[in-house]
Amino acid sequence: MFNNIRGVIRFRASGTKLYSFMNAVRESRIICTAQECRNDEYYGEIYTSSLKEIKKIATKYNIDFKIEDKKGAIFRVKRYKYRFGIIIGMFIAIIFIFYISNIAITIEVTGNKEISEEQIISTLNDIGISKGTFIPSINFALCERKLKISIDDLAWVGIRHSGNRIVVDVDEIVEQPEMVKSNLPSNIISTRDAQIKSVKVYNGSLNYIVGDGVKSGDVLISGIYTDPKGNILTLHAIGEIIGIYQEKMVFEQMYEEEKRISKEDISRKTLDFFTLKIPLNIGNVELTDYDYDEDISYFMMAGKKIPIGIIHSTYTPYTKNIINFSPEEAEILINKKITMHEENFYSNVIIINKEINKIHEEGKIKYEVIYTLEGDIGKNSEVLMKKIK
Amino acid sequence: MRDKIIEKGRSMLYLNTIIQISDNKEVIIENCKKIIEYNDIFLKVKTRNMTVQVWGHNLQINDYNTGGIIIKGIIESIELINKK
Repeated sequence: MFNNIRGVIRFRASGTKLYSFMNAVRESRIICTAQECRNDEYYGEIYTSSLKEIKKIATKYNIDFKIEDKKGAIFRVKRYKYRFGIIIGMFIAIIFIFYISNIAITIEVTGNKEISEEQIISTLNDIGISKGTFIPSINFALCERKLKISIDDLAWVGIRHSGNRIVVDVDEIVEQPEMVKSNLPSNIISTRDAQIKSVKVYNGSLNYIVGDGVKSGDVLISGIYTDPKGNILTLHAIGEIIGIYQEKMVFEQMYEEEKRISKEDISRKTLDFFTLKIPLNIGNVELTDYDYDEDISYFMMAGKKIPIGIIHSTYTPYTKNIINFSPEEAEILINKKITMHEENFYSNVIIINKEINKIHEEGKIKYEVIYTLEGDIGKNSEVLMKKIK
Repeated sequence: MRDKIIEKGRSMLYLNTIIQISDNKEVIIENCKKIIEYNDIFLKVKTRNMTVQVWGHNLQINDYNTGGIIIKGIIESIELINKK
């Protein structure tokens, strides 16, 4: 093996002073193996490093010295010494292997249920761990603490690396179940000024009857009662009080509004080569106000994703324009707002009546809407009792 | 007395001629001074106090620069001739 690396030369020597030559080689401390003497010719094997010296001795003793064979990797390598492409290629390959061995190529998140992987990866990015980060420079213990502090819902975080893959193991906090205080003494009180339309009492004593008017804060179903013996007892009031009440809402629409208007999308492609980003388009995108969207398509090999892919980036530029609305257009817009409000907030109640007062002010139109609604007006309110000292 | 001391010293410093024979395939001669004659059937080597003659077939010498030689091949006989 070592001989193969150093290189071995097989020589043939002939001449009149052959024995003097042989002994001179011995005396000059040249390692010479496989020596043979046949037909007045002397053969032997020496290392490449001894060639110059043995040639000198051969000249001294007037010996005809010939190289028979050259064996070893060094001779094969010498043949390629001017093939700079091979040398450069090997150098690039070494750098490439070093690069992909020491940078984070993939980040895997395991153990997350409620918290999205994107949120964790985005936080890791802020902490300093992202694709392309030099792995030896990552302080895993510090990053674990930072990630745990950054995301409140994490109970435990473990970050490790396996080759060029960073694995983030997380454990989420299990939320404490809400305590159902069904035994605590409570009243049902009114949340609005209303007229009672219907009542359903399952526990407690009703203070008002259908048709009565109540104010916000009035006790509708009491959780305190006196038994026939005169003892004051408490219970958890349960019931449903439906009332009719009014609610006033104000909606506004300006006649002149500044709006962001989107322009035509700009697409760019970038080659993601082991996290190294190589742009495939010429020129930078310089925008001040824009939305950015990114999609990565990784190449596949034998059914598996490889860390080489194309990043499709889409920029949606925006410009701010002032839009003027006519009174009719403003009315359409304000009606849309009213519809949206009703869909969002009055899905559980019945709208009995809707009274709209249109007010035109300078630069805007204002709608005062008075809703007459029918819905549940009761809510549980704990009965607070003083402790007996 | 003087010769005895010199002999003892040479023995202690391993300066004597040491010949090691392995089967009929290998002979190691340590502390040899000069190759006097050599071909594929015969080898004559001079040491300090004697001449060693090796007869055989396909004789081959390996010299690892240790002051000795390794003779390989099929060894038929080894003769030791004292210096006169």
